[in-house]
Amino acid sequence: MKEKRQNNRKWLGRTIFVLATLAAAVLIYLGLDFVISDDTSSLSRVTILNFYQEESVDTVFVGTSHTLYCVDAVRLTEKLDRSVYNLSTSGPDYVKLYYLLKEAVRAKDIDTAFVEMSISRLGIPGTGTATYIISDYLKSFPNKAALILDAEDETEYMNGFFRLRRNFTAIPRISEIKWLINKKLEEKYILHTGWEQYRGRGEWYRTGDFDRTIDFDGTDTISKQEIVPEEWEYLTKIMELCSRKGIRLVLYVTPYSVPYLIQYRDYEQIVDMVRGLADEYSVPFIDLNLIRDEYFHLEPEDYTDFEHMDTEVGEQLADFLADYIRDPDRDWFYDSLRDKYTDDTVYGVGYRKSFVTDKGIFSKSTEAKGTISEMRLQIEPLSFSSIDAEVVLTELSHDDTTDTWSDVHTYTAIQKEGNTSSFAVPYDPSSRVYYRIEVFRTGTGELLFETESFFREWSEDER
Amino acid sequence: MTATSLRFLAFVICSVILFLVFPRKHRWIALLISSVAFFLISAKELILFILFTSATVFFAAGLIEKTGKQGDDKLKTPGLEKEDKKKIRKETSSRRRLILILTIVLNIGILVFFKVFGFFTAAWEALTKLFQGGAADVPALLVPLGISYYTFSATGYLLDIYWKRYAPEKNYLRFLLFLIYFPHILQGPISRYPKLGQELKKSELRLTWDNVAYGTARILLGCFKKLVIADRAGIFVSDVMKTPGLTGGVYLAALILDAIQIYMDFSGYMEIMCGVSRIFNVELEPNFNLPFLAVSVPDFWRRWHMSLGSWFRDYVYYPLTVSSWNKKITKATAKWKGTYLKKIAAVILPVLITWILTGLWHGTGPGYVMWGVYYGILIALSVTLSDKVQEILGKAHVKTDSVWYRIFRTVKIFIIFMGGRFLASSVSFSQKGQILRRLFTSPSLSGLMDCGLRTKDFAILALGVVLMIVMAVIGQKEDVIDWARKRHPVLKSVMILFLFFMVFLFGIYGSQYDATSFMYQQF
Repeated sequence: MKEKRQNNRKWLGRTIFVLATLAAAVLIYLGLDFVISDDTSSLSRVTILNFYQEESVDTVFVGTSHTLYCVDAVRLTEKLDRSVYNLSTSGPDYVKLYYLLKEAVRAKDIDTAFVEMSISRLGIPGTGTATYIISDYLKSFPNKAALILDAEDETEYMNGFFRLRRNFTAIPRISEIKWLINKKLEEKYILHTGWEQYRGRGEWYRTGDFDRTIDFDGTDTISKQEIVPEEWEYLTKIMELCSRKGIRLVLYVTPYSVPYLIQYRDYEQIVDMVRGLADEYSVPFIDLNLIRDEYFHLEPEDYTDFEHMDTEVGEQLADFLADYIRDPDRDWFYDSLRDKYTDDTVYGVGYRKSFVTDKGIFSKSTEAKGTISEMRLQIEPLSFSSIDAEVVLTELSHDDTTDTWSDVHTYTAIQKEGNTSSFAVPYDPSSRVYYRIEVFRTGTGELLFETESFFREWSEDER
Repeated sequence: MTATSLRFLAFVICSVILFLVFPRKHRWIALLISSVAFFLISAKELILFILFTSATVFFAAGLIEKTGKQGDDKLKTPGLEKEDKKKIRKETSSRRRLILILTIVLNIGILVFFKVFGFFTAAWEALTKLFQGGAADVPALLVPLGISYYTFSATGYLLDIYWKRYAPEKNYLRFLLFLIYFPHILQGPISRYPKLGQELKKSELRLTWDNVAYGTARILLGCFKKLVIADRAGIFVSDVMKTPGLTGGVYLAALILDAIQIYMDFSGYMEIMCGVSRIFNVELEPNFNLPFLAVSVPDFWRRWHMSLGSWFRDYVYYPLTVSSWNKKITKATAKWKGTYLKKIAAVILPVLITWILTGLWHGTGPGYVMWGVYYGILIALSVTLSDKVQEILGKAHVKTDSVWYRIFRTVKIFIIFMGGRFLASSVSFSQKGQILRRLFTSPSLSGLMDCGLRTKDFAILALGVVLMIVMAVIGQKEDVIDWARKRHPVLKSVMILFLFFMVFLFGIYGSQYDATSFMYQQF
């Protein structure tokens, strides 16, 4: 009897020890996470947590940053008398879009879903960052776990489940900890950086000026052959999920800038492939780049960059979407880009850089062998029709006192292949250089295109 | 499936559940099922090799014993002449030896084939590149999991049977479990049948609080050594060793961290596997015993990878020293009696052969042969000159039990160990020459922070090494985990939480780092 009591006491002691140690571990983790993990600037935190807070959502837009900045869910809610939410985040591939939609369907009574087809994401494996910005805020642990286990490499599982690990990149200073604690205890735990602002219902405000020049090496474009099977598989899963749950699904492509569409050679082929898959599941597919001009028209200045529409015109787009939802069978769209863009307007220019050394010509300055003596800019006017044009490149200088621009030097093309002109310019990664690019019709000298001032941003590898 | 992966953790949990499902007397079957499953998950196509080895050795052991018994029975026949008895003994001995040699040659031959295939592949590719302008495509060969370890375990067992040290195992499945037991299959220890075989034969394999607590603590300690120290050091070492033109100080730092990395990696793995095995109430033989506290080079090798060292000592070195040709050498050098030459002559060949073979066990490149010769010479000199050294130290009034002398000895052993690692490293000879030159001509540490690690990482490494030194000091008197378990519960909890959070926060698994798999797994 005495032995039994002693044994029981021993086991009680052991149980208390284990539970106390586990409890201490959890408390320490939560404490460290609070003072070290900085999510105060996370857009997806606000977007996703706000979504859970909404009393009801019946229509959801799920997409990338293209949707995040251009679908005005507040206006759509007013116009349609439904509860619309823009549940988009930056940079997700189809694996993440699938789980985001799955979570939305689990948490709310969704009957309509608009899922963005970010064409280039079909060929680009998702980034680790994009997984965390979604998985960190999902309330359903099975969905969260499935997302991390599906989207990440095994070596990333620890970082996926435990954000403290990812954030513990350096021993933080006391001042940093104090700042973070204050920020987290603020009533409004929302991002304000000046040019990004939360509009409500998942939409974020973003505006800027797109100069209509495209770095060919800086855009994500894929060919048909580069479509990743896993992305295609998850695109199919999205359709199956909606079919199973009885959700009306619409696939859409957001408006891209026209220069981007022109230089994306395989764009329409890939769109046709997705349209074919959508037809198999009887899912409507709409390309917002083909909206008839009388219903919705974007000017070149309505973009912040080559692929993001300006939030300022989000209301117009929302009005169109509301009309489309009410009457989807109307003839809202052109059949193809060539039907829409029939003239020989030059919508912008594309360019490519290469670097010249005594050892040869290299496409990246970081890979160049020897000393770089000059840089080559290959510039191509972008139009849906074939045109015969000349490109003129002029270096500019800016007087900060008088805020005026003046011409420094006009370069003559050293080579011309079709409409692409190559220019040899000095290579100086330490300074910013501004150019004006003009495109003239050969023979007549008609000005077809002009940048106001083209600041050719130095890429990271050139800094 | 590496020992620090989540998959392995899940596997161990499933194995424990399976272990509990079986009745106590038959839990060895649960361990066998888990071990076969481990092998199939890790390398299913190659399980045939271990099955072949286990079957041939099991059968051969039985046959050797049977042949010996038959010979003994014949000798008991009444009325046998002396000559007849001699003949029977000779025949029995020859038959037993033949079975032994054939079985060993077959199994060691498989091991040698896989070892040298990579060497010849590399040589063939180099030759074709030189003469044909492009390396010829040679199909890669998958090396059976743990082949170096289980082949040696099996060979040692067979030799023990041949030398009549114990009776052979009668149950094939138990013998298979001895070889394939999953905590020791990947990186050892190279188990001896009287130890591990008997552990696995315990009448009741139980899950007890003490074993689970001890085992879990050891696993945590192993993860700390591997993930926090070894993998972190490995980032720096691999970055430096592939970068020419760095300063001597940086190369020296890399050599030091390389030695720390291999020790923490290997001993960390052993902690994890001994911990896992302890949960099942099966004690694995220790493979490390504070090697850097060794008093001499031979002592170091009695503390480092102990199972390999003792295996070569028992099955290669001792038989060589008592071999007829070594006896001839000893006899021939009798005229040098009392001199150091006589002492060296008695041991030099067995030592060199043993150590060259040890080097080749690690790898087939010239670096490993040099490594073997390096340690062979050092050990031979140490054995021969140890008395003289003690005499000199005594005359110089050096206090060999003082703290300073012990520190000096540890540093000396560490430097010798670093030298051996440097010799065996895969860096080219010209690069090795350059590194050596820079050690003496360019001692600065400029560029230290540009080789994959930041200040925070060096601070963590330093903390880790200090912790290991403290553990080593404690470990001289008693097992460090037993010591920790005797502390006040609050202190115990603090130590567990500290280790846990160090592993959790600073363990190298994730996007920023490229965690290397265990270094001794290639064997």
